[in-house]
Amino acid sequence: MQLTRKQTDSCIECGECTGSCPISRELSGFSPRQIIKRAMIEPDGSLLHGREIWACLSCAHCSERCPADIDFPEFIRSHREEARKAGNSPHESHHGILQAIASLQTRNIKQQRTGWAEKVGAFHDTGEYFYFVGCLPYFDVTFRYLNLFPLETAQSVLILLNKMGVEPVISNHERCCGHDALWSGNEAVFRKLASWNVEVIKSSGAKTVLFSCPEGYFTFKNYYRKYFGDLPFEVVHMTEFLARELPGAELTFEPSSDAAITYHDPCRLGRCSGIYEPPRQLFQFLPETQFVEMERSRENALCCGTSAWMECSSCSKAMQMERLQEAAQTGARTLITACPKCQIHLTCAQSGTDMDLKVRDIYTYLLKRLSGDETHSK
Amino acid sequence: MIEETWEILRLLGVDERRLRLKWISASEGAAFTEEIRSFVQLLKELGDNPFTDNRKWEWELEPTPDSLGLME
Repeated sequence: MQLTRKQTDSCIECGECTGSCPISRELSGFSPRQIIKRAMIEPDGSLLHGREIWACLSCAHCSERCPADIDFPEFIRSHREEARKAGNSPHESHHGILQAIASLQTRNIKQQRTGWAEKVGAFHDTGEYFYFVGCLPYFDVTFRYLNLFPLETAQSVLILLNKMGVEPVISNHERCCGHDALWSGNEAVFRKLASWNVEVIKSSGAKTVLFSCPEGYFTFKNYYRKYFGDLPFEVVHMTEFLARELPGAELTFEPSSDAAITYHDPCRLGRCSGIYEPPRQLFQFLPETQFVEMERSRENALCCGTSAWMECSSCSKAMQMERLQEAAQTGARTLITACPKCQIHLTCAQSGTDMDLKVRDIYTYLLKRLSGDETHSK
Repeated sequence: MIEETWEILRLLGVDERRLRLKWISASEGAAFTEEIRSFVQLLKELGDNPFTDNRKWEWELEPTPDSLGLME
């Protein structure tokens, strides 16, 4: 899946990539244009041995705008395995705990990861819909120190689905989707995790897999197909599902005293998957709610600053603060995102400040606004 | 930190007693010996480490639910 010579040769050196790159703005000398150029001259050269290969966030700002359709994030990703083999590894954040958790899931273990669901709703071992929970049970433990409870996202999704008459499969056998392994040069870990997941979902009999996490959705939709061919189930993002099914479901939402709300497009959902409208459609179900866009939104949305739990740096913090300030400038007091990692990163950056902005996950926010909902603390 | 690690072990389906934290002073030799003895005893009772990579990945073969340990 490496870029072919023909593809890199098509670079017209316009510099749109470097001009668009949020890392280039913070890290002087980082230039996607020059990286491509150098790779054309010496394919096994400095890219594999320098820090640049790990600095790219794969946020797809560059590839979104490239007039020659060069997929720079994919170009970088495809060289990361080789970089590791050459002894060049990324700096793992959080002491590498999240990478360890993912790689341990490649083993034949019996996880106990559905305890959260038993408390809030109905789910089964087999059925038509499979809710792919992703890493939320592990994030819930790891990020408690930020006073964040990522499992609220999963609980909100399950409650909403139950209220819409859907009792999904939630499985103890589900693994990490492998997104981070894939994007940090660990293809073997990715393949093992993905194989488990495909078999687990197949054996549940599900025809539709629902994702609240943009990374899981993007990885299944693109990379699982590349590695395993056509999947015997449909891959749907929860915002798509809710935007389609909520109008027919007898659920109503309540006005709230919240000031305006704004929305942060996660890169895996927006630029990488083209899902811009469904989350915005969901806000239209909320009465008396003023939804305001940030200056940079949709395909121009700024990335949340870190990817695959690696290389968190002053660059990341600068981008996160920039994004938080942009949200605050809209006058909104609630910043909603559809990605657990964006929520974690933005909350972390905000924790040392006195900014008056709530960073909320879209499903938890929707549930909070649902009429007659007593299952969830407001 | 140790509480969170126990929780993560539980999520991964690993008996959290495999991770133990104790404070023993340098003057408490007997307590140290007893602690290690009982820990070794417990680990023997618990058996093999569940993280032992006991699965063969044969990419040519289609894995089956049976080989994945999904059939109880």
